[in-house]
Amino acid sequence: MSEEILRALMQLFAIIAKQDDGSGDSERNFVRSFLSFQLNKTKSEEYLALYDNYLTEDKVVKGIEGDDEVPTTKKRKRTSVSDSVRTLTICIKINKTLAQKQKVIVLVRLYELLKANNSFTESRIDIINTAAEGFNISEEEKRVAEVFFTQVAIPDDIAQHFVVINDFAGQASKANHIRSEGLDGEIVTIRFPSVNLLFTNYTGINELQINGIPVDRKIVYLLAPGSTIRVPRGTIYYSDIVEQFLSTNEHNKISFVVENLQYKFPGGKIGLRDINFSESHSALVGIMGASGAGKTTLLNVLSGIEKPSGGNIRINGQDVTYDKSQIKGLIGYISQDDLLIEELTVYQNLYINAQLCFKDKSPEELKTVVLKTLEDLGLLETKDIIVGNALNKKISGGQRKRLNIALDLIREPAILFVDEPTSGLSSRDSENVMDLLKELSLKGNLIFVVIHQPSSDIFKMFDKICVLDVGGYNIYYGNPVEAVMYFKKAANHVNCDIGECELCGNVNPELIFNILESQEVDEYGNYTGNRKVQPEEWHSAFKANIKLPDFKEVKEKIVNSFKIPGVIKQLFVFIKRDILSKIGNKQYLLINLIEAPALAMLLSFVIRYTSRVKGAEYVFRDNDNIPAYIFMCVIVMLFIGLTVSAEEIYKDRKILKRERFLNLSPFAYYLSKVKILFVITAIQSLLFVLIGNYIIELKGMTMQCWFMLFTVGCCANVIGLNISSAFNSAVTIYILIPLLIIPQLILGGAMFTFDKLNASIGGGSGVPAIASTMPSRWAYEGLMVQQFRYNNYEEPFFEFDKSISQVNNKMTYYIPELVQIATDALRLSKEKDAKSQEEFKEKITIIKNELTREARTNKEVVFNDMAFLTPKKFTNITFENLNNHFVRLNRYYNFQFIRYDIKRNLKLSGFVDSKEGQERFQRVKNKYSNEYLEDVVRKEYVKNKYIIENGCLNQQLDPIYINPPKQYISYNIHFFSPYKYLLGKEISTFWFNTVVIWFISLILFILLYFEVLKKTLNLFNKH
Amino acid sequence: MKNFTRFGIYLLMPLFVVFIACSGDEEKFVEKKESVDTLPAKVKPDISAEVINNIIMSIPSPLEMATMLKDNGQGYDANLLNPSTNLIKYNTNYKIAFNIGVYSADLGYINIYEKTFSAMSYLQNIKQLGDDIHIGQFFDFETLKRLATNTKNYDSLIFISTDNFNKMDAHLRTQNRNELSVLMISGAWLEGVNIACQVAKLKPNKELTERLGFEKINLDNILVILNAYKNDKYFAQIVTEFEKLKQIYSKIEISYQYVEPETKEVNGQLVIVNKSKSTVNITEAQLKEIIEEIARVRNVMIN
Repeated sequence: MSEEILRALMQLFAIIAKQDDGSGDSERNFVRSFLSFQLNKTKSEEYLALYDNYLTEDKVVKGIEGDDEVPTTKKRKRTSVSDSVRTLTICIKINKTLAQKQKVIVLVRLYELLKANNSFTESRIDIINTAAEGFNISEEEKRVAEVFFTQVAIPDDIAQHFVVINDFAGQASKANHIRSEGLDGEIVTIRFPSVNLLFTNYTGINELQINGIPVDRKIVYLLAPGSTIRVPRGTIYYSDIVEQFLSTNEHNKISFVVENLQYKFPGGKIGLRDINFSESHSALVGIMGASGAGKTTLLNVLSGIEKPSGGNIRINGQDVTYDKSQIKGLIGYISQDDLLIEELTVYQNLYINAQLCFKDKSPEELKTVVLKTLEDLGLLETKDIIVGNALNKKISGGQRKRLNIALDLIREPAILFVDEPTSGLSSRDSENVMDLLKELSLKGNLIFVVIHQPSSDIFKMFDKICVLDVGGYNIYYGNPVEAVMYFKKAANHVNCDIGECELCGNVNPELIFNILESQEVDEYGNYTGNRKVQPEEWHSAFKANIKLPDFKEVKEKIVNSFKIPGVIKQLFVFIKRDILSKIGNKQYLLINLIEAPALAMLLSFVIRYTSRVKGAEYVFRDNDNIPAYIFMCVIVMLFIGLTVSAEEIYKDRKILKRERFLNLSPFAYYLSKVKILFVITAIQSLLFVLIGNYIIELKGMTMQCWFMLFTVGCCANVIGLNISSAFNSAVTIYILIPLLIIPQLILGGAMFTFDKLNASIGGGSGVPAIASTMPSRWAYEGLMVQQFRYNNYEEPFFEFDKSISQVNNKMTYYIPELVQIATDALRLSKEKDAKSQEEFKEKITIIKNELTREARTNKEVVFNDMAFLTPKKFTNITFENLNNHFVRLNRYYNFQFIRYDIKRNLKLSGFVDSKEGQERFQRVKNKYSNEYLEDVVRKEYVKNKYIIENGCLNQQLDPIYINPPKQYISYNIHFFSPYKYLLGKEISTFWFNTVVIWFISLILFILLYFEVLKKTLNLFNKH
Repeated sequence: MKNFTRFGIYLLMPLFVVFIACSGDEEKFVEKKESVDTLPAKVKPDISAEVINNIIMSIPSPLEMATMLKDNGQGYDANLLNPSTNLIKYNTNYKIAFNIGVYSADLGYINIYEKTFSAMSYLQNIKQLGDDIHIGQFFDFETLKRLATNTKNYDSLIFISTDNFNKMDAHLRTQNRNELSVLMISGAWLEGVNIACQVAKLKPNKELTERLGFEKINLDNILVILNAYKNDKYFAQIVTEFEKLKQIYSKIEISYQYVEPETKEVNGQLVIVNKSKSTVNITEAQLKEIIEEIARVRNVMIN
């Protein structure tokens, strides 16, 4: 109590005492005992002198007045008025310095003074009324105090503020009642609801103890949270009394039952063993224990994050582990982690969270709830400050912690688990936080708190504590103050039945751990490192000595105070949250917007090759680097896409852990991520294409380029999200990126052509299966084919060029090759050795296969002797026939060739028949076509124009001109195919490939949704 | 949410504008109304393929002329050649074929002077043009690479150059694309004569002058086969130009003296020695005229 309060009190005491000339000894004795209870002897003498001083001062005034010989009644009245004025002055002064709680205490002390000699005279009451008014204490509460002190019958209208404890079964008044057998007289407790203070007074003759201190009947005790009252038979706890006050409020009945709980770590080590307890609503339970005892593990198991390996946990009969859907949203979990979104303000953090919790509330209502919560937590002034992170602090650690707690507090889950809410906080902040939790528990919620080194006040706030010892043994469960006594007793300490300090009322929870961990001493007095009492022994002692009270399990369903919004609404909230946080992070925004154009500029500027002769101008056609440029675009986009998304889920994982208790839709969450990333990617790819293509002068396919890069970027986004959700450190994730990008480089088809890969992975004339899983390969092929086929120069001629290439290759390479094979076959047919015969068979097979294939497309020139194309029937005559057939084929193709050639030439001549046309032709050719790109898609420099694969002669040259086989969906066809089949229809390679990449993305999204990668990794971790 | 929308619009609008701006400014070919379907019949020569082949065979390969130039003692001059930059001007089959001939003659000239580096570049030009009319397959990339890295290989370079020219020519004829073959030969002839003319202009020499005079015969032969295709516009153009050349040549007389061939024994074998002799009368002025006209025609044809 501060000097100022005391001074004010002394003044008020003096004013009241002197009323009716009654400043007798009894009042002075009360003041003396009151002071000695609060202060040491010298100090109390000092204040008593002050009291006397005020008293005599008043008397002097009165003495002067007395000389005037005014009638006493009048005089008294006047004095009363002047006293009232003085009282008010003091009250106003006090109002400025004291909190409401303290003012209530002052008021109670004033009543106590009256009670000291039972002189509740009118004028004294008047003064108190004036003081109460001055203190802004409500009429109702003032009446409660009055009734309490005058000990008249309790009126019905304020009966709910009383708790009467006595030995009667029934109760005359409507006041709350607790029966305590064998109690003489009554223990009356009142509560000031506005400040939540409890005062108690005993009227009987029993030797009661409050917190281990004998009760003086004359004194009104302030019943602090966590107090215990020792009655003849048993103990009455603070929480029992509070519950009475609150029982009139409606709240859920909760029963939380833990039976034979066991938990094994993945490694096989036992984390928790044989834990049994039950708890009902309106309780604040502390979980304590030495570090490593398994406190957080217990919290995780209780909250259902970890599965117990034995026993069960039931909430109103529903198993926490297995009936998850039944207990949806009942549980809240406040971990030690910081779950705030750095870039948002305090208000936004809470508001968005509230949006996810309350479906039915309008924005206005939500705003009110959020502001109310912030006010309750003392965060109202900071509401528009950005949260920041631990390094870049904007709000204090205590505020962060409170805000973290607020996230869960706002929805008031029926059962709340809190992991070390006070760690790292100042004692002031710690107390604030614990007050909040206490208040919530008083509202009917059940709260479990892991706590480490609590202060005495905090320790006493708990209704129950659960003490764990190393190895996961439960060695105590019950009242906190009694816990100290229990352990003191067990360790044979003196005065073991006193839990708290008689003078200051402090409890030292440290004592418990000192006792637990006291070590054996050897004969030289050195500590041996062995504990005196092993955890197992404590555990069995606990089981033997403390009998947990019988518990009636409630089965009725708990009504949820909140409703989560639908998936669509969640999606919007998630998106909003992400956008807000992204916009809040200026650096992130800037880097993401600049990254793509900067890279595009770098890439295209560096490779904007100009021939160094004769100061030549830049000619797109002559730029060697176009295929590489296209490939690099794809790779850059993959890279950007991956890096943008790689940390997306990882950085949210703590938030996700918490939100799991809200039962929010993972689909909405992932979709929100995907949507935002896709928008970012769309912007990035657009910037990239616009700048890159502008500098490199790649014209006429901006839209296609953008769409393909966007597609690839999106695919990379989803890949990134997958790794982001599966791996548990940022470093791992970023190390993985090259691991994902480099295969894209190797198997993209640009750096290493597929016909020149290790034979064991496939390739040849087709694409290795492994390469087909690479988005880079599809994107590169799509863009290359699109550029080649649809550029303004090639487009008019493509069909001719294709036909000409087909027939020309038949004439120049294919037929001569077949002739060669036939000749070899004839030669080999004459040889007798096994090897030659084997080769002979092969050659015949090739000829047969090829002629069959040829017959499928060519109905004009038919080979009639197919039946003779077997090793046995192959003779000189067959050979002659074959040769004749080849000659006819050649002639046929020659005819075709000339036809197409003339057509093409005619069209060409049409374009170049004038000087102007000639110039335009050259311009278009230089601007739109690229020689090196043509070389790549036509495989100009391939060594073997045809290769023998699986008994067939497959064309290597001019892949861009080879018609793919008609399939329902083009599958396993050559690289750079001019078009493909999708659902039986011809579709350009570009669109086909985009469809493939989107399909890959879709599959990846499904994998993401089902967390396949994460689960697979967990599987590895287990073994 | 409204703010986001507005933010999005501010962000995307400029991008969209740029996007639209970029997608414009395109240049395309202007398609002629006459449809490709109304395909005119392939130009048919008036004379038989056999005759054409015989005439083509009689025209000397571009290398022959070049050999004479080097014997003349004249140094290498790259300015005489058709520059590589002209490559892009050759689009239509006919123009391509003609200029394959031109470049082949240039290549012959380069080869004689063993300028391997330039030779590679011209070989590339020929291959590129060859590819355009689908006769590029004779240029094996591997061989070209080998030649390029080993400068001592100029003998085989000469061989390959000549061989490829002949192969292309032969291939065209087996493919019934004689007209292209004719153009190739004509091109090679024109370029060969032009180089010789330019050398003669700088350093006149009797042997060279006579040789240029004798080209009258080759020109006549070439004109015979060119005339066979003159229904075609391009051929008609060449014929017109070459006819002008012919007019100048017509003033030159070639006399032929027949002498009975005699037999004599060389190294124990009987050899028939041709004693007949052709002589050409060509004046200084005529030569000058020829040089100018050849250069003019060549200039028309390569551009």
